[in-house]
Amino acid sequence: MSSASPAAWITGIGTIGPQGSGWQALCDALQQPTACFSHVPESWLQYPGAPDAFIASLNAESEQELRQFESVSTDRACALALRAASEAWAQAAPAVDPRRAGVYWGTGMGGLHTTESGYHRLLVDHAPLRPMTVVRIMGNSAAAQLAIQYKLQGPNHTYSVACASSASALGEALLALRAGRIDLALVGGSEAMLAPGVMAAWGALRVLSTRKTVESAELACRPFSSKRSGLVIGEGAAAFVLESPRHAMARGARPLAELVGYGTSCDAASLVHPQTAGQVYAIRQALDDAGLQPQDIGTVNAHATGTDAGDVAEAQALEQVFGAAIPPVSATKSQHGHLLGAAGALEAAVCVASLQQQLIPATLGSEPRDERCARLDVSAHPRTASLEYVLSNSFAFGGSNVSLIFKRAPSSQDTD
Amino acid sequence: MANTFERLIQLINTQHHLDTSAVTPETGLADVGLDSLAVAELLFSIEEEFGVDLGNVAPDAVPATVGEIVTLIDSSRAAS
Repeated sequence: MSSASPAAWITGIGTIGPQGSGWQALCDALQQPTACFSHVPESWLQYPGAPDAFIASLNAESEQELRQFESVSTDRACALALRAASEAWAQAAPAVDPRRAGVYWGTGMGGLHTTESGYHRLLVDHAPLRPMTVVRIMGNSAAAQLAIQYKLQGPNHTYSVACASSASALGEALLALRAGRIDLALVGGSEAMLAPGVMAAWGALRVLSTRKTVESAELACRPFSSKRSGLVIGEGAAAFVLESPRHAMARGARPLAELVGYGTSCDAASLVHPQTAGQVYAIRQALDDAGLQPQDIGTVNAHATGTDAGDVAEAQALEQVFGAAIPPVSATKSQHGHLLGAAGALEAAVCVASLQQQLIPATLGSEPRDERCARLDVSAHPRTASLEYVLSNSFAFGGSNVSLIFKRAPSSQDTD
Repeated sequence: MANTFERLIQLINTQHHLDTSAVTPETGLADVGLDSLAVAELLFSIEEEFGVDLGNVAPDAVPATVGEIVTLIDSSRAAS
């Protein structure tokens, strides 16, 4: 085993997404997996090219809870960020030097709802735009609002790396903690892309699961299956408090899990077609960063969106890295959909839940299997397992690849 | 029907989730927690909420207190 770089402790988690509001809702959903999918609102179908697609939206209870985080200065994506962060921050309850604490946030399209409503207001209604329009749309709006809310005066960075945005944020926060630039980071991602205009754009890409090709909402996202029909876009946010172990121990905090490895690469080949070689490099880099060998990984949370190009490239990458001993794989987008810029963060939360519950999540609808993905050990039901390390992949449009490795929380004897 | 002051406080609460329990007409807008952009947004909303046109407010006449906004609304309504 090569030498490992220092880890970061996760001392707080908060989530809101298609599976419900709060970390416990996500943990419960992994135990009783269901596909949280529905159709787009009928009213959206009036627009040219609007896809008759499936989406993974918030339930009514989560929608109600989100209201207290909405204000005149928050886009929906920002309100989701504030909701997730409030839970993570309350759980960690950190005391920190404000200048030694930063925000590392990921989002693909920032204040997309405000962009769409602004265009409608100006170009259709011929009404003037509101003064808050710019600060709601700007990509770093959520990161800035989080800093204001928690008085975090250190680095404030937003990563917009499509589907690897929040995974990048987690990895870069880990590097900043290791470098000693900060003691604590509020990290995560949020995305709210369920609006008619952007869905029409996704429809034009021809990657969405739609009613033309799918029998029921339950089977809308089927990673690794020969019956796959495309991806299902979801919305939500996940937030973490990451700390250097030294800082956390000094205040008597305990970790929920550790972030121990980060690998990142760019295919530099295509905007949309993933390349196995780039993915392999990111995974191996994460293993080296954590000082691990492939056989140390207990399970893989795959990127696996349910598209032909993506699923097959990732299956090949896993074969190259793990050889004949690929650990069990899960593709939880079959449950919560693809949260795009927030996907890496939400699936990081899934990884922490896996480690805490010693559970390999289910992958729904993966049978009948695509023969090109047949070597993957995938189950339609959650499985118990002894897990020490979990690998999570986030592979983005633009060719960016991010792999993260999480470790089960050490026992108190190990850290005292 | 609520008076202008009460409706204005309600509007500020809805937009910003601020604690307005101690706000009086003499309270400065900055003391309420409203920066210049938030005041611009508030004036924009007032036009919709109260059906008035504040487009002629000179830059050096932007209200500084809650009471001054109430006066601005009431005078604009009287003028229209």
